[in-house]
Amino acid sequence: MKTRLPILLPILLLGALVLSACATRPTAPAEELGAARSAVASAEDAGAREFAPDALHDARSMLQQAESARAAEDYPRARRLAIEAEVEARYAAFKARSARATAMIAELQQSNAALEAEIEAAKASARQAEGDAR
Amino acid sequence: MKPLNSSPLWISVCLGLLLVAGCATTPPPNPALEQARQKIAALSDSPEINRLAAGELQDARNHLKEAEQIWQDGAEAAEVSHRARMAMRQADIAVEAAQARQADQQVERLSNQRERLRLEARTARAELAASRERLIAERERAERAQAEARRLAETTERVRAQQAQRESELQRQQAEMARQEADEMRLLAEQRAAELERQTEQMREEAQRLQQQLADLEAQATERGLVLTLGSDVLFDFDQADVKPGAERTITQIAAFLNEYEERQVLIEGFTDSTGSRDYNLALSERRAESVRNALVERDVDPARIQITGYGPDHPVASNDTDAGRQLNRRVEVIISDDNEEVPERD
Repeated sequence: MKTRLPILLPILLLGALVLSACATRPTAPAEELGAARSAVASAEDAGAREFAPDALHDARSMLQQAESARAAEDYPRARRLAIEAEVEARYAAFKARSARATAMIAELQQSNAALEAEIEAAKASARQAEGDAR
Repeated sequence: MKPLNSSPLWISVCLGLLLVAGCATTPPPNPALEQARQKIAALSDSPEINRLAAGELQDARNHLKEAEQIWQDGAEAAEVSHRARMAMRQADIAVEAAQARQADQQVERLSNQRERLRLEARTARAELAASRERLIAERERAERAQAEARRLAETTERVRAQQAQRESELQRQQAEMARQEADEMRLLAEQRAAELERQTEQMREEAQRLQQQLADLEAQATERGLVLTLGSDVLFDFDQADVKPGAERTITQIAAFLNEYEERQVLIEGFTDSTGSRDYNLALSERRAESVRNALVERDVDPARIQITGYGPDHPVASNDTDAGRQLNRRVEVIISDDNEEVPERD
């Protein structure tokens, strides 16, 4: 094995050179576009339409631009926009999730306060009833 | 072993090529990259982000590293900015993710709290219901006790009223009885009074009748009393001393009067005319008086009340020279006292 290493190393380096240059014919970013589409759908499922409309709008418009770029066979631009759209969509999803949770917190706090009040009232009534009974 | 000797040369060639391809001059500063760098550095210092969004923070760091790399490699500014923006957005995601998880935790905590509170509320409601039931039961018991007390009081009152009614009824009955008794007594008294009155009336009538009879007998009121003069021709046959049956009515009337007035005393005086011997006439007059007495005694007149005297021809009431005069002189006088004293003798 040791004797083969000197031969392997240059081959590896050449391969790396080829990859880093990316100079070869680019392909359509199908994977990235698919990921972006599914991220937008997830964001919508997470309630982004209601809770993060701006971010969702941005993500959709980026996805649209990515699709346009791909149609124009400007694949590097299409890939870049698709990735940006995916990230934006994920951002929208988290924002929606966070906003929704915040709204739920307010709701829960309110309903818990109501429950506490009810409990207090029930206890007071019970105490009064006990007092009356005696 | 030959290729080993030639390797340093290969390496140097390859490295040279690499450097050319990388355009390894000092790259110009990129503001987006700078911003991302600062932001991610700040997030890396935040313990919350590290704790809650470690994965997202790492993604942001990786993106930043890639951006740094292509910037170092002298990539186009647009591409670097794009990568920097990606890193920046990834940092935003880390922030949102941390917030969302924190919120989720709070939601979970609050949800748990809500479950606890619901349970507590259910318990409190149940306890309240139980308390109210106890209160209602207590009130009902109190009401029942009050009703019982009221009922007892009413019963007592009713019994008392009945007793009072019975007593008043008894009193009323007693009063009624007393009244009836009094009525009976009164009635009796009235009856008795009426009876007495009737008797009195009867007696008065009788007396009146007797008076009338006496009047019929031509009685004369004198100082000595009532004087009835009976003609001997009416009473007796000639020279006889026995009372004729035809004189019975007169005798009966006199007896009735005497029986009515039992206290009155009687004196019977016999008289003759002057014809014949005096002694004989005296005896005849006395016998005749006695005959009248006997007739009265036969009619229930007490003999002790009756005195008799024979005066013969003495005390004539008319002249003996004529028949009419002699007839008047032949007589029996019955004198009835006004009181219970004996009739006084003639002077």
